[in-house]
Amino acid sequence: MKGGKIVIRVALIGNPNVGKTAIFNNLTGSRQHVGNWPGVTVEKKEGKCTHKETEMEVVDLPGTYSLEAHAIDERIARDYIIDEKPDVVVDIVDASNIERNLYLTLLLLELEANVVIALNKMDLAASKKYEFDIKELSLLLGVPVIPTVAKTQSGMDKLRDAVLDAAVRKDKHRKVTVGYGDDLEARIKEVEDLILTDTYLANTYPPRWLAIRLLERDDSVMDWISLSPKRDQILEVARW
Amino acid sequence: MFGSRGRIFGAKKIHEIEEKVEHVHEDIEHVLKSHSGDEEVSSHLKEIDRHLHELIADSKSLESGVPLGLLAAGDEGVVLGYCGGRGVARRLLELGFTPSSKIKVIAGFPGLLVDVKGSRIALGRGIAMKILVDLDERWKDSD
Amino acid sequence: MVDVNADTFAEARYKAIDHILHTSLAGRGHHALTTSDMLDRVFLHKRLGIPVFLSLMWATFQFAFAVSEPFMVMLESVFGWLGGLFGEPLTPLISLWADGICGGLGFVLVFIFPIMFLFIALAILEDSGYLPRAAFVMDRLMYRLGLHGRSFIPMLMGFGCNLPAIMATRSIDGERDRLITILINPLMSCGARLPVYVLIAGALFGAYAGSAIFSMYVLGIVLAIIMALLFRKFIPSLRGKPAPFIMELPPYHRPDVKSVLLYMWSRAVIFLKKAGTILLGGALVLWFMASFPWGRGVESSYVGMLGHILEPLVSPLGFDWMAAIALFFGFLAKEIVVETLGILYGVGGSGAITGAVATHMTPVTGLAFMAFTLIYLPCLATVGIVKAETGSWKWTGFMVLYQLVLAYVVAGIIVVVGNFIIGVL
Repeated sequence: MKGGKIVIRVALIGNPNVGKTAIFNNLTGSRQHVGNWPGVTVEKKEGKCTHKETEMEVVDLPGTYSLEAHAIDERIARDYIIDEKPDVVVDIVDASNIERNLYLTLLLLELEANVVIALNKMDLAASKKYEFDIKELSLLLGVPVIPTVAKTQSGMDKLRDAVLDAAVRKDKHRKVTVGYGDDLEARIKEVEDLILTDTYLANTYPPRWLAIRLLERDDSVMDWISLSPKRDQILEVARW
Repeated sequence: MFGSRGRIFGAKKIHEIEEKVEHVHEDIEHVLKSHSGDEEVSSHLKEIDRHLHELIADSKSLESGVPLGLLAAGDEGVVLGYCGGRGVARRLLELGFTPSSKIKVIAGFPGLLVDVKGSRIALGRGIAMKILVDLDERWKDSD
Repeated sequence: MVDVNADTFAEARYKAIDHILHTSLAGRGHHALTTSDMLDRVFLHKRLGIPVFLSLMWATFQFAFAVSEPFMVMLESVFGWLGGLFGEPLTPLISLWADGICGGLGFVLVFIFPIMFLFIALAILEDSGYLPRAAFVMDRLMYRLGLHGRSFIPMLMGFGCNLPAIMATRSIDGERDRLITILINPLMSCGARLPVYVLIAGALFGAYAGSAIFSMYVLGIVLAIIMALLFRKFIPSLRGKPAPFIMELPPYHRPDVKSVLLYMWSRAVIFLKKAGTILLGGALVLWFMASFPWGRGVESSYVGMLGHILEPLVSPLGFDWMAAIALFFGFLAKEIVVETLGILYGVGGSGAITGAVATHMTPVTGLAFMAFTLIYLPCLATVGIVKAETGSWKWTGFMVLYQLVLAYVVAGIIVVVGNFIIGVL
């Protein structure tokens, strides 16, 4: 709370070239400033937006294709979501390039972030003869989907409303995730159950997500696992 | 059941794996012969042997793949695999170069511009030569 | 038990996406060639790609130069008139106004036009989506030399200003590639050097001025590539193969007039701020040093004394002491080189500065001077950003050093070869 106003933290994320900067500018206008992420030479853009008595602190995360955390950009984006636990994560999806863009979306859902999708560049998608069933898309992904054209400010108000809504409903949103088939799911569960026995790990990181990271041989999670007393067991079960 | 296609998408060379698979196949043959009386064990082993043959067939299809770098504008194909380092492999996967993805060459040679998952990706020559593509027509009906 | 490969999860995710889009999106699967693709057939053409790129670059500079010329002439005469308002500079105060402010600062301000038009052209190039194509086309060439094409975009940005260009190197994946790109970036001729080219080429090369200016940009690119090659070969910590080239090419895009103008405006503001501070300050200091001790003439003034001390450093190249002073103060900001010449030639009594250039330099010397300005040092601000981005005094110092040496070498070659050719003709 800040002097009577509610403050929510919103992170913007998306592939490069999806219009994230335009949306950030639409939201924050002149109330933005540029700094650096601590310890690295990557630009950090932050700003503020006030909507319906609520103040949004917006952070523009670096454009990234995934959350693997091998490049600095990806690591910053992922660490921010895990450590800072923003109230809402706005995933900006390029409608004219949606297939590849949804990859990041699925990763965000797996990370159990509170996602609102801004389906941007609807004008480009239309010129490609794409026609979306927004309701169906929203239903299947389990998150609100707001069509926008950042260039013309179209959809921005609806987006702001959706962000506020999502912040309020925070923990009650339906958790949707990719089912990987019975065999893989069995492997995932095996690792997940083991993670659950370490309460620190289980409370800091979404267990299922962490299990999948391990199975995908993501080196960047080693630091987190190393501190756990269950480390060796976990690594063995995940076949490292 | 093994993972859907047992594809090699990492640094191991195809023929190394084929050799290993051959060895396992021989072992199984051997065990089958000496325990032909045990029905259950035999049928399990036969299952496993069948999967091994699928694996070999898959890896052979990998051999029939063409390096993407050799294709010209207009060529279409399906991604079979990538024979290179893990870092680049991950990048390619993220961008949509997953096995059985359809891709089409827009321009290029030696470097390439391909259409994959609806977006345009430019690839340097080195990488393009390490991506194996199946030009076979029979994959075309999966849409 | 199921085995997990690197692609298992990725494949599954894309399959899930396929299912999702199957029911929620109509109109997929049209992989028809778009206008973008047609354009790419040309721009990325195996043989035409690089010539197209060079032509585009040449056209860009021609545009900037040609369109700005009438504006420059206009503004120059305005300042000339302003300078003459109080009559001959017989007193220090009038001289301060006429020679220091109008002759110095005013002179530099005239160059705001070519600089702005250059930025407009660059903004259009960037907004249109062409830059990744340029990087890709250059990568083919650079790959053969063991260099990384991805570096090319920050390098192209260097044509505007080296500062944001060096910051843009953050997008480069490999540390070594990034470091090399930073080290060679100042060789990409920035907007602040343009006034020097315009002044000297305009004065000495007549009809060929445009080409002379263009040749400086090409020289920069060539040197950058050569130095990158040398660095990669001979500096142990920079050895190794360049990172593989994978880049998404966004579709071509009609440049947005509003954002181009906004960008140009923000660069104009930066230039004017610079003018009001560093350039104005520099002009005042220079005017003072050139005019005092009062009445002695510029040769015996303070700056003249300094100049004669510095002169031996550059006389083998054919530069006189005024050129030496200009280069000396140019460290603060490259625009100061032109400003200094304006003040020194003006205080020395020359009415038309362009004419004055011709009396102080020959075409060969002029070309060498242009090249020297291009190479010798990045401006103070750039040195600062290099230190910030590399976090190392070692590399920053190395960059300053190699550029100084290279400047002498290249300018020297130009002088020797140029005089030889003239001797032969």
